[in-house]
Amino acid sequence: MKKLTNFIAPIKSFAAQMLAGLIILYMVTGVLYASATGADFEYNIPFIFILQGIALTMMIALLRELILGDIFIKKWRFFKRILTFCILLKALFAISFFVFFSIPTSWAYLWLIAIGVLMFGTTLIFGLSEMYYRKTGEWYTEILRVYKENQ
Amino acid sequence: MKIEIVEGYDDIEVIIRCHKVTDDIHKLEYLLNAHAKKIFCTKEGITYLISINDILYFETVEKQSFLYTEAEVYELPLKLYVIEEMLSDSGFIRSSKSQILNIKKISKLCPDFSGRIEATIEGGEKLIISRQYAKLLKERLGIK
Repeated sequence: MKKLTNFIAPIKSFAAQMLAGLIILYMVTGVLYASATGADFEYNIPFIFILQGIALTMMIALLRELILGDIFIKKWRFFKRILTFCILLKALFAISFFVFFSIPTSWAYLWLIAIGVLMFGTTLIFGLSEMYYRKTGEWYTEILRVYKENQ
Repeated sequence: MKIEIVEGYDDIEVIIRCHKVTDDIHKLEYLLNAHAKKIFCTKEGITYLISINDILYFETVEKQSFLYTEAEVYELPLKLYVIEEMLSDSGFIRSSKSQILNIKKISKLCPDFSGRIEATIEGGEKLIISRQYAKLLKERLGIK
């Protein structure tokens, strides 16, 4: 029971934070968009939007705990974790936007380009980081070798 | 506790005389063995005396401590903090809340994006040194 609570508590907490952020984002961007375009802004949030938000944030939080947490995957390097997380997160977004939120399929091409750019950017940043850390690792290993010789 | 040292012998021999073997006596026994660079451990009910030079790392799983050599895994009835105290001067370092690693057995180090360090030990196994203990390892190696 304690293990289950320890697993669920951070998921619930992170999902709640994301949901709060999502609602704030919805309200702020909505007001700004309405004021910029001169349209009326509806200050009520549709109930279905809250339900969809809860489901999506819970899935993201679960994915984060499974991939980036240390409970199930203990010995993966961060690069591998973040890359897996990004791929699964993008797949989750794609499924959610097309199925869950029923975005028109005419947007699919644009969405695929956006995913592609994000994927390329993420891979490039973490790929360069990985190269840097491997180089640093060689330096650490050399220091370790000297340390062992002096023992 | 009465301690008596008698000189004039070729080998060091320690005899513990007590009313009953308690946890404190076991601890004393382990400390003496650690000083002799050996650790008592068991495997399938058989007791072994393992040289600390053969130990790769210690790990606690479900409150049970294990000792890993390149070929075998043994159990030992000591808490990790006791092992840490016993072996801190013998080249062992805490690598996470549940692991103590033999520095001499690390063959490769590689830092991670999250501040952890991946340590490859002899035999190729990879262990993760958590962020908290990575800092201590770096201090010990003199990495700034």
